[in-house]
Amino acid sequence: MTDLLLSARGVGKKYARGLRRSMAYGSRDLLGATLGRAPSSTLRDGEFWALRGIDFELRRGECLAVLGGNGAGKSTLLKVLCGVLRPDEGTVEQHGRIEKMIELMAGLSPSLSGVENILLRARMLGLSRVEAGRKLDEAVEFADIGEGIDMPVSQYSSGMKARLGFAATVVMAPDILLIDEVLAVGDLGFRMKCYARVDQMRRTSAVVMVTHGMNHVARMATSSLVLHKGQPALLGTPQAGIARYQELMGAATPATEAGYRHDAVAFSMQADGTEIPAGASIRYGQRLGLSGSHVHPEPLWLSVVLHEGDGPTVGDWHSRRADVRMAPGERFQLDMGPLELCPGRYRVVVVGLGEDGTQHFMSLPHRFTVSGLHLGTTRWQPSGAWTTHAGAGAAALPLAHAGHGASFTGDTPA
Amino acid sequence: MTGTSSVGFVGSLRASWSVAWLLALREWLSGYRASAWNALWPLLYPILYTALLLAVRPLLGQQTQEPARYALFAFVGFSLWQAWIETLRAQLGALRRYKSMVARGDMGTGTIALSSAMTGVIQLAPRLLVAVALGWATQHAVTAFSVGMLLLGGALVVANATAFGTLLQPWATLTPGVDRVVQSLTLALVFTGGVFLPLPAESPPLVAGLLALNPLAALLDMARAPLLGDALYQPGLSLAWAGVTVGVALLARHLGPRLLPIVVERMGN
Repeated sequence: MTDLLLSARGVGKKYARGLRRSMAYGSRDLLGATLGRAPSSTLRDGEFWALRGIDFELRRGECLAVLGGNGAGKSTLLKVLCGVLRPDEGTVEQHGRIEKMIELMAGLSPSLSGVENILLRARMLGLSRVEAGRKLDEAVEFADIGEGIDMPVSQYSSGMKARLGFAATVVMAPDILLIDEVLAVGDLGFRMKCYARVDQMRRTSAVVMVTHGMNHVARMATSSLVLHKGQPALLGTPQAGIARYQELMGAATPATEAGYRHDAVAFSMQADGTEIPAGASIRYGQRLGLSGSHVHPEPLWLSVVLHEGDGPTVGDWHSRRADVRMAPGERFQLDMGPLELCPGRYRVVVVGLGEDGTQHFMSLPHRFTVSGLHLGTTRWQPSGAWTTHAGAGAAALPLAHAGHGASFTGDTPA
Repeated sequence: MTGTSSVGFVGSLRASWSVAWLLALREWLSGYRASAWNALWPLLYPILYTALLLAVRPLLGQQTQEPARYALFAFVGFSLWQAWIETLRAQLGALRRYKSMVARGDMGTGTIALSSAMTGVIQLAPRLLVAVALGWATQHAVTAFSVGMLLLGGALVVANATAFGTLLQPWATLTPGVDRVVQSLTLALVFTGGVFLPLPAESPPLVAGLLALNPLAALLDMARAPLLGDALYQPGLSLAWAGVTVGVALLARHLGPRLLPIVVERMGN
């Protein structure tokens, strides 16, 4: 059985609203701590639980992904785990050396050079001079800052600081590693180095990782903890955590939806021929369709745009590509084909465009979620048609063809 | 919070000393690199004040004192006063100064205190050297004993300021008023500390009580009297304050880990 490195039992942390009240309670808590009193677990006026009821155990080689929206308590949990904040309830037990990827650049002393900062970090962890020297060489090579390593950090660019901060942390080989949304920094090459290094570290350490990257959760985590308003919403497998997190995020739709002359168009969506209501969940690869009508007095092109949640565009079905123009009053149908999308939240809007591209209307969004196995963060994840041929060289392979398609049709109502 | 660290007590003590020294030395060097005045000013300040006091000593009722003797008296007094107040102020503001490292959990109160004390010692050392040179040049009692007492007294002055600063630090960080209280007591501390006016051989009980309450009076006297060839004002008081310094330091060390998370939480991001 691998050794237990980190455990949290009934951990809770409360904060006070308002600066003055916070300082007043702080002074009282100082006096109480001086007199040896334990912190109170009852809420005082103006206090709230930022974290409550956190229970988990972590062994070497395990990686716990902590998920949650803004203000869910993720960073507070990390600070309690590393001892920066004391819990108001429960206990935290840690065994071994702990290192934190929290506010990487904040841990650097600006008046010291890169080399001195690395040595400082090593000495803070209690390493001997010889060990610190070994770590220094490793960190300098990892950071790859060149001659800048001997300059005071105050003269570094933000990219150099991030590299140095990351390098000074990853080479220390801790028993427990806490990561607060800083899995990789810098350019693409350096980020690949960072991922590889953290991957290596999670096999020999116990890792607690706060991240919004679902691909990191799917790839690296062995368990997940989903927080919602400071309380644990789920402690389970990474996939279960991703699903629960997305469910919680999906529950928060905007109070008002945006559209433009949206009364000019109405449409509904179907999955495998069956109408789906707004907010429905579909499976990866289900065939989606859309049908509707518009009342704009002029002929126009239609563009059906798929967005990621409230984020960027994922796809755009433009009727001009199918050479289908909508006459006034025409009904339209769109077979979007199988939607091979990464699990998550999406929305579809229908936009009416004039010949010159002028936007005449944009519908209110139709939202839905896609469920399935989470593999990476790329939104469009077509499965393709994979075949294998034993022993054949590349030139001998027959051409592969995928037969997916989408089609726009327009009908004049009878 | 409980746990076992693979570092151990010796390792963490070694870590604290090493980190504190690195911070103290490098910060002094970076100040010097920015401007040579940063290195010279701690020495110029007591020299200038000594020259000023020497010039106005009749106003202070010290006209009967031999100028060289009074110069040595005032120089040592100001040097140690400066070391005490600067170390105290540095400690009171240390959590804010090292806020980012403290917020990450990289540094504890012990390391911060050590760093402040080391900075105080680095700045005091050249002044004590000048004091010894001045004593030798003015043919005062520069013996191994008097130099040893000067160094011991200097170290205790810095240690005293560090210990009290560490104890008051959490409150000073959360309540700006503490800094102002210290500021307002400065003049009183200077006058009752024997910084540039000798302590009276006999005084009414109230005055004696006020003098006894000032740590600087006893520790400064312990450092300076042997060099001047004087008897200690009250040897028992000097010993008592040395003991109090150690006691407060131990108390501050004990309370530090308990109080720091409370302060960090309130300091915010």
